[in-house]
Amino acid sequence: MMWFIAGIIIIVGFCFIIEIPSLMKFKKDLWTFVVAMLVATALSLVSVRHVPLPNPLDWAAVIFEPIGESMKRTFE
Amino acid sequence: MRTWANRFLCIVLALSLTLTLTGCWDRRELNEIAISVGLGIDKVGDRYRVTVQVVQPAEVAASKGSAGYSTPVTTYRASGATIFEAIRKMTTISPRKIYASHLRVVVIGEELAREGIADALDLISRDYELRMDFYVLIAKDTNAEDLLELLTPLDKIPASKIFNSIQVSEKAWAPVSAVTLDMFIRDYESKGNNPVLSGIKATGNEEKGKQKSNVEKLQPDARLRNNGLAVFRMDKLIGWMSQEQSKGYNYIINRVKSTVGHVPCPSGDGNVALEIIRSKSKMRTEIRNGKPHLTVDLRVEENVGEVMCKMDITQEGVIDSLEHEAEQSLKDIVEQTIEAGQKTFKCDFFGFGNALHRSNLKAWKQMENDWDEHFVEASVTVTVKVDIKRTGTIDNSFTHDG
Amino acid sequence: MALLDNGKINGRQLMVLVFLYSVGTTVLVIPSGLASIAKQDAWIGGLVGILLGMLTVGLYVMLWRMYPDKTFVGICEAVLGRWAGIIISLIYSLYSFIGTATVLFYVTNFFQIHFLPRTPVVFTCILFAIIVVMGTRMGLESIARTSELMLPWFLILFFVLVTTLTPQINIDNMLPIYEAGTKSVIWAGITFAGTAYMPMVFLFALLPRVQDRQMNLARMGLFLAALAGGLCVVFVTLLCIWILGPDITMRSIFPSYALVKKISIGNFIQRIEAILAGLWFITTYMKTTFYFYSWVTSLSEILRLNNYRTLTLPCAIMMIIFSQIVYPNVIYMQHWDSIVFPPYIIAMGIVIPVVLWVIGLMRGAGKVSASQK
Repeated sequence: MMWFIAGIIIIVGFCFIIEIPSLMKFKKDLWTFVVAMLVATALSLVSVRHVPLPNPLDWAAVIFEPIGESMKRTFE
Repeated sequence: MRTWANRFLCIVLALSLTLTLTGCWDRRELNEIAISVGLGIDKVGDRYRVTVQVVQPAEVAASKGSAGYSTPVTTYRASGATIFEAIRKMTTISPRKIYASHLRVVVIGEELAREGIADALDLISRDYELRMDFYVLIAKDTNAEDLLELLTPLDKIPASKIFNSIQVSEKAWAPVSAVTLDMFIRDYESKGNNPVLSGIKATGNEEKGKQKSNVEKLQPDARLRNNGLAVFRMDKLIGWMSQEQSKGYNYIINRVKSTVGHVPCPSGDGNVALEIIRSKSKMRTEIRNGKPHLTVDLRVEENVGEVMCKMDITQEGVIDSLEHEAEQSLKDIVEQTIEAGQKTFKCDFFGFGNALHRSNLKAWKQMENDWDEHFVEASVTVTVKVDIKRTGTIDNSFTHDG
Repeated sequence: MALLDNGKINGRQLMVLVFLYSVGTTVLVIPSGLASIAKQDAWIGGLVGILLGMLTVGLYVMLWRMYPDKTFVGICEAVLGRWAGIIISLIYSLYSFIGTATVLFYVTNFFQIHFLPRTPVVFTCILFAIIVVMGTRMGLESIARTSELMLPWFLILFFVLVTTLTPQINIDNMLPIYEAGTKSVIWAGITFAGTAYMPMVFLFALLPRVQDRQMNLARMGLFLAALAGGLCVVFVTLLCIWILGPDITMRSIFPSYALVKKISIGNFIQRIEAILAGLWFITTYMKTTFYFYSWVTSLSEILRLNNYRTLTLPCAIMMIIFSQIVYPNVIYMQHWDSIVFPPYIIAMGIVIPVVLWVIGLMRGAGKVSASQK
């Protein structure tokens, strides 16, 4: 477990090192990057601990499954 | 890419990527795998007994003859509730893990075949390591286990010998048919056909056949031999076809590439051997008066192969009468085979149902659920046309004038 | 919207991209889906799918002509105004995100099953994600030139595949023709069009960059390339039916791979399936890259960032994480792909573009840009 977390932190660190210099000129970009990286890091740490994350496919299924089922039935 | 140094560096980097090609978790060293060439499945009680024939590379590659440490192959056996488990259990006896990608034959014991082999074959169709180019065989009058332990001359690896002999004889001798797993599955799945598998038999003294002394003699104590075809209803073995019937079967389903048959001479004092060069068969199923009518149209091209009587081939009408004899004899064989299918085996293993499916969808939809019963009552027409084209390098035999 | 990707691609490069993109993951998974719907008429379903696809591509071309220098996000905002446009654009972005995660799963799943069963999937994901991110960061021109380089390899491998398999064809396997009936064939066609053609809506991220002296030819080229891609897939499906039979095609998860396992010429040219897997690797790479590119650029445009490259790395991490979450198991995948996916992709691939086009027409956009030429 420790190795995973360490690995994630190293990767995130790399990303920062690669990106930060070029972002110094545009504040907006910098902040978006930081926020996005925080979200990504949080998600990866959470998934390493096997916490079930919401699955966007399930959201799509909620809306589209009934439509899909009736489409399939009309064409059978 | 301006400087040569740059390019060199890029090439080095690209080549170093190939170091990763072997995979890390999935690396398989050659000395860690046991290459299995034959798989045998039997059932004892309700546990599966699996036998695996594994190559011993040192023995096979040895160029110093067979004065080696041991036999070219060895077998491992294990039993389990499922075949997958049994194979994994083998690691308790085998020093290496079984690697099945080079499988040549799968042999199933006759007893298990009578009970039904579909379950046994599921692993083989599902596993990613296995391909579908091996032959499935039924061991006649014996267990798969004993069969896979016989050693053979000429081809050091017995499973390879079986594979090659079936492959070669399929093209040269009509009663033999090579059936791969996907062919079996296709015939099993279709309602208009039932599978047929090749049989294999051990002749001679089996116990002695398992020893190296078997191949050290000129005439081995035991041999492996192809033995006719086994008929299945769905996945249960229901019987064996005789040599003539197997021949008829292969003619009907258009799998004869070349074979030899004989007819009696017109003069009556011997036989003429005819070599079949080309054979084309058309199967049709029509509905007449609500009942199926099966038609087989055979067109065969033959050469005169051997003349063992005093016959003047150059005389007019002799070739014609030979053709006539050949036609009659083929017609008899085919008709008898279909009759055997209808009366003895009572199921359609030729594929006439599929022929009906292809030609007449409506009728098929009505008959598909109990096709075997309809097949048994079907009427049959067989037409054969034989053309004898050539007679080898001479026309009349030297025995003719003497 | 200067997103610091000033790459230009010409009509020919567009054709190559569209061709490889439409073959994409379609060829890997579609034969199985088509065969389970239409059995031996799977190829007819494919042809119907190509027809439906041509109509879809036609819709996209019309939308492209209406707004030749706007990406999808730009079109949404121009047509629907700022706020409605942003909502639709966010949905578009979400779609491309889901697309990226699912396609990455497909690719790594394929490699995992057949080649690297014991390797933790994450590593294959990371490896593949690295090249996708590299491609995206380098910009459209690099991707286009790479695809031009890869096209000959694709064609050679495809040619090898077709010629080595021809001896094993058994035409009887496709009889009786049309047993499945019109309804099944149409449903198969919808599934086909949904996998091969409707994802082209995500190519709107690169359409504004197409600069060619003869735009009309470029547009025609798009049609032709899409048609060619579809025909390749239909042909592979046909080969599957001819050689494996409808039953095994239906049952296999990757029938085209089972197909190439059967190649055997003279007991010598055998077991070359890993080489032919390179074919699928090229096309799925294109698809993944463009889904990712579309996601990152659409998100950057919505947020009015200066450079889309900023988001590539965080998005890549999220893509890897979600590719593991998106399909919990293979059975869920098959269910989702056959039932939920068709209406899902029709909503984004047809309904929304039609709405945009109609409203655009009403706003007189078509006439305006035509007069600007």
